[in-house]
Amino acid sequence: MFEFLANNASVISFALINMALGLSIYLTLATGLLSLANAGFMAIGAYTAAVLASQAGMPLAVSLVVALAVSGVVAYGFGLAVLRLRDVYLAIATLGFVQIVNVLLLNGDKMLRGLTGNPQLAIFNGAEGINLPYTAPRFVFGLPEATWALVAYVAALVVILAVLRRSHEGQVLAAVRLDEAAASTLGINVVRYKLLAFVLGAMMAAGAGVLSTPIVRVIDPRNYVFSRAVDILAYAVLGGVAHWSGPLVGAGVLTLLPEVLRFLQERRDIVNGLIIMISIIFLPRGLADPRFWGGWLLGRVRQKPVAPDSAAA
Amino acid sequence: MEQLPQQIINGLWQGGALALFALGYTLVFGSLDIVNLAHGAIYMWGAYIGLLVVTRLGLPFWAAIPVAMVAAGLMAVLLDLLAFKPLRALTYGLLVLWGGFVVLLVGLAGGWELPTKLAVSAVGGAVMLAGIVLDYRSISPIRTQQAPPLAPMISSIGASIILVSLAQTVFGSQVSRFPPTTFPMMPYELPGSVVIAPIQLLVLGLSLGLIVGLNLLLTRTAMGRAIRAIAWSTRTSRLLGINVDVVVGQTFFISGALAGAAGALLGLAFNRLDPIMGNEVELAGLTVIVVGGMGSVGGAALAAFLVGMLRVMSVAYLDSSFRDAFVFALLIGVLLLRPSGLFGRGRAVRA
Repeated sequence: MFEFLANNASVISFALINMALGLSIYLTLATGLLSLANAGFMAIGAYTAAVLASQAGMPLAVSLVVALAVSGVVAYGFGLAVLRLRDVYLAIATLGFVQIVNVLLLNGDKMLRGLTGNPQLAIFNGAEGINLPYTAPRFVFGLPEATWALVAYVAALVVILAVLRRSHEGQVLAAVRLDEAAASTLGINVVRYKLLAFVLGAMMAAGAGVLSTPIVRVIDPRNYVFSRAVDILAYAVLGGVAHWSGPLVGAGVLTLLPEVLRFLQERRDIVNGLIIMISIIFLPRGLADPRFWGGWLLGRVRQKPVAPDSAAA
Repeated sequence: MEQLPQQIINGLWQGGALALFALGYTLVFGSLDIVNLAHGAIYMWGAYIGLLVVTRLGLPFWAAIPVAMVAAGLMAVLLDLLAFKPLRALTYGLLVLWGGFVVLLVGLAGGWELPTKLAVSAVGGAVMLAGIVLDYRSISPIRTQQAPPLAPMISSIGASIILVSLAQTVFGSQVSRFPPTTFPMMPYELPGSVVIAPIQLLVLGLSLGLIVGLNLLLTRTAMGRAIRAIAWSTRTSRLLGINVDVVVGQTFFISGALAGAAGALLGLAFNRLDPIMGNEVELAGLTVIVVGGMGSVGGAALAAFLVGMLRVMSVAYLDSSFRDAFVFALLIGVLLLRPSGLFGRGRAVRA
């Protein structure tokens, strides 16, 4: 058992990182916001941790706190500006955010050199990214410590989302998704709740970015661009956004699939794409659709009324 | 600023090529509300088909453009049938089409000898054809339930992955180039020490021609009126006797053909083809359709020239690494100040 875990530690770690990212976009999707900004917030988290570790030798826990604060502030400011956009417009504005974060990271040194007048300055290392030194991971129960940190992080996110789902705020978020106009006539401050979901989602993504640094070790700006944003969206939508278990399932499937299909070599991407298409066509509400599995596995009687309708996402 | 006229020329031809790409994008978005993220993959296939026509068939480049357009157009129609139509209305015919598609992929990507490969692919293709006929003749779909709004976008991501990795298996991941003799290289000298290469002139001329052509098609022909009708409301169009499935197919064909033309032209203009060449233009295309106003053809064309110009100018006078930041700052600015796009009409004020 431990041997199996140790042999697959990196796959497990990547699955956990992706699960955390899937959960981070789930919150905004469950509020009816199509935000793709989380790749950018993940970059903010990863770079905060990498810069603090390489420049000041800060431990991961400190970086986590700093990154959560930084991403929260950035998300609040950016969210205030863009959250009145809807649907595809919001998606594209947030993609723009991802791209701008990327350009700033690529040119961060250049700008800082100009500001400080120190031509030797190299903090972000432009396109090369930050290389963190390799330290042999300490294994606990078959998995490296960094992976356990991710397990704890994903578990914490699940708890937060599960509590939120049942709380007053969670119900309000669902109401905003179902009918924004109706929600605002009920006296709900729609913008405030959208901001809440956006900022929380951004912080979740930044946390995932921080905790991914000991595993990826090379913080390369190209890892946090358009394709990453699309991947994150795919985790959540493939799994389904009716319930927080959806992104977990989606991220798990999409991370493990290429590993399972390794025997197909370079053709595995084709199968990967096929599986995404087939599952979205035949299970358009996601792999973890409570209505489908509820009827299938538990019998219709035990199926609780799914809180808000899962149709809009 | 001494190079300004030259940079304007560069911005113009790059903007023209971007317009070709973005017009198809905006056409599909405007009429069907689908953000087709596989549009970049179709563009890439258009470029490779152009390359094959020149290198394998030995035909001149002017023949490669129409071939690339038709092939990419058919590919886009197929994309709709496989990725989007099942989400609108699933039929038994589409199930058969899907079965054939899987067989075709196994045939194309499977590691067999050539005769077996061809035989399996041919069987897959034949089943697909049967599926298309069955689908066309089917009266009522198996499932009419509306898919969630994001489903088509995810489906197009899957399709894009398949198209890109299929290109990697068929053509390899390395950079391919047109032979240097494909097109005259000697640049024309214009007054004021401005130069323009023949291919750049061709890109500009063809894109302007196709923009005007598309506009005439949409405003002056029955087909164009039908496309605009389904953009307004598919249900009303159906009541008025428009065969919505056929019109959607036509829309995708036009969209794919424009992407194919853009691919072949830009593939030669930059002379750099690789399976992921669609990614970059995908993002620029998204910017163009937002700035131009979603679904607005004229707006997208103008916005494409604006974005092309902005990209060229920021590389020439500022810093190449900031190029995308300016484009996206423009994007966010437009979204915030004029959510319906610079040239959008009132209808788009959903944002």
